[in-house]
Amino acid sequence: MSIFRNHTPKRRNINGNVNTYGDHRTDLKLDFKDRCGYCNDVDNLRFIWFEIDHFIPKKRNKKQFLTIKTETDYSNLVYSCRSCNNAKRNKWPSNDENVPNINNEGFIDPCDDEYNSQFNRLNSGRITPETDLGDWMYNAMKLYKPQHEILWNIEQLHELIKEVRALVAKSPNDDIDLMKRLIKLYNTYDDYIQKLFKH
Amino acid sequence: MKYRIVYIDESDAWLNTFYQTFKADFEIIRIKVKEDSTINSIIEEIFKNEPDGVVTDYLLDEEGQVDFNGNQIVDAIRKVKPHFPITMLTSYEPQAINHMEDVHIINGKSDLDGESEEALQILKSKIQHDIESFYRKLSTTQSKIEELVKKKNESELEPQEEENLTKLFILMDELEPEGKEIRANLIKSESITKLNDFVIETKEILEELRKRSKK
Repeated sequence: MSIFRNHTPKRRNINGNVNTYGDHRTDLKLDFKDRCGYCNDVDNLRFIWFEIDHFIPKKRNKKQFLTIKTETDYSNLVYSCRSCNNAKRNKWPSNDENVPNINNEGFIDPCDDEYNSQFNRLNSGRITPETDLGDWMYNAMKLYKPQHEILWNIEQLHELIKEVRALVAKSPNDDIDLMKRLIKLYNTYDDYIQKLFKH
Repeated sequence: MKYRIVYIDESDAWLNTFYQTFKADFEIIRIKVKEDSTINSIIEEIFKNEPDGVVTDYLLDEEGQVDFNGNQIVDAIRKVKPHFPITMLTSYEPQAINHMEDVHIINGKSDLDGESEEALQILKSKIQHDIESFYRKLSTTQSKIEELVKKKNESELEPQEEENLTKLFILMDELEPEGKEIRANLIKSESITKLNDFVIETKEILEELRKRSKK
């Protein structure tokens, strides 16, 4: 088992006036540590911009739903990848904007520590649900999508490669076989990544 | 709740006729094709309105204001959302048929003249059915995925099921391209396994390097 995520994002208390909620993008990126609040994917390994989700949906059934906060209220915003934002859309099973979840259906704010215990992660990088409410969120936000596994693995590799490079730099190695193996692996991986992000 | 549909035409009279005919059955957004309209501007306007379906007139260049027709609007929508519910109306069916891949979405515009209540009802239920079947396809695809994923998380999938799941993921991306972020050929489970193998091998090499650096 791996952990779903190592860190719970926390929103600072930001109350300044902004024209649109999009003006909060930089603050959100910082508070969410460049990650999607819902699936924890990092925002630099993709060719599609991250978006901003309203935790309590702005509209439902083509009507205004959010009234207890303004559209630009920072405490209702989540830095989110396109996939999670689109899947979450205007789902809100309780139909009451004050009640994020009821009878194990609905959402937990990703900035709440409780959010972490809803999910787990297999060694392959796949996210799995841990609770009944987690199971509901898992399906609602399609956290089963393969991209989350792919991006998690790429991120793991990124960290490992950093370590490998540091070690190679520290002790120039005369083990030709190991170096050959390393280069071969690196080349295969590079081909894979090229394919992944090719438009 | 009434479905929201966008109706596209270059003629005010037809825009009005369509609206009056179906305003009780659908929430209708009218998009008038004007001199400065482009296929892109129309597509943008369509999706900005978050409709459940689209109805477009076929002959849009009749007034000579634009140089494209409804079939090109259909192609442009299908490029973004291959399964989106679209109905085409035309007074020139033979011409439309010659220009369309999917001739099943073509309907005679004369149905709107109100002469035949039955023809109107058929057109209305076609538009509704199309939207309903799109939503049904979406929810069936999701339930099938959820079922297979549940099994995959609890035990494991047979190769055939694994293949089905990949196909369903691809279909889901086609039905809801808004959520698509990864190329279809890479969501095959063997691609992910391959990536996971990279991680495992890199860890091995790292271990080896650590051992050596301690020597």
